[in-house]
Amino acid sequence: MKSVSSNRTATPFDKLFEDFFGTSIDNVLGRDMSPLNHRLPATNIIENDDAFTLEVSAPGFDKGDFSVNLEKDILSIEAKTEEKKDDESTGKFHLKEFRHRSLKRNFTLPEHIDGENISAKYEKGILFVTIPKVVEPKISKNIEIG
Amino acid sequence: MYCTKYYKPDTRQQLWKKSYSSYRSLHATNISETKDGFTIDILVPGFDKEGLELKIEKDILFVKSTKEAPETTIKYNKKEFDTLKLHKRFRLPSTIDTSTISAKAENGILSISLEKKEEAKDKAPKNITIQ
Repeated sequence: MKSVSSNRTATPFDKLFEDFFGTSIDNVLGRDMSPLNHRLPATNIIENDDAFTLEVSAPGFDKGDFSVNLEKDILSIEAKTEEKKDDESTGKFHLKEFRHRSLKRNFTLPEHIDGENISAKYEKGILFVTIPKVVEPKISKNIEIG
Repeated sequence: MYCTKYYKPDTRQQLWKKSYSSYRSLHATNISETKDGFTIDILVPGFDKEGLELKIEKDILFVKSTKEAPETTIKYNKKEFDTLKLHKRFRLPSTIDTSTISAKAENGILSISLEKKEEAKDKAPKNITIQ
């Protein structure tokens, strides 16, 4: 599966640059690359006997900002919010490490999951998505020897 | 189950992992100044007010997690962020009145407000009438 958007990774050079100039190269070039305002949110995946749980870090959103879609075996999670404009109320920024605009991440689901019963809840800045597995009836059968 | 790469680990990044993770901090912070005070916004996904502790010692503001590791360890297939550890420090300027500090945690963002001392606030320009 392909990545949903190009994600430039931090290199040791970035760190050197920041240590030396006191600001990140992304700031200088006007780029916005930190993991949390980037379109790919950090995600934990937990697997239990009966379900998978995704924990998508998405601080600063509202429940209504999210859309979770399943198309064939691809689960896509998207969120959009309006960015606050710098004005009187926000003041002057001394440090700006995050912004909120949008996030998007796709996941390829394995077989034997119950796509009808995927559920999601947003709590404390984390979107929890529960993907139940299909419980297959265990077949045990005694075979008589004729 | 797998997903799109969050970042591509290679040996070079492994070597730099410590600085990498602190540099690309999960707890990204915005600090803004208005004429009456400062606002510090920290991304704290997974935390609410019960899990956080704020403390001022001299001129340093500490933001810490008070969460303890759960007894049953959760087995992650993939782990890209942690919701237990948090430790941040901010050196406050002397113009801040530390008794006015207030904070709220909402939707994974901790917002700390600090007011400036009365004498440090920007006063509106004053016109002096010429007699």
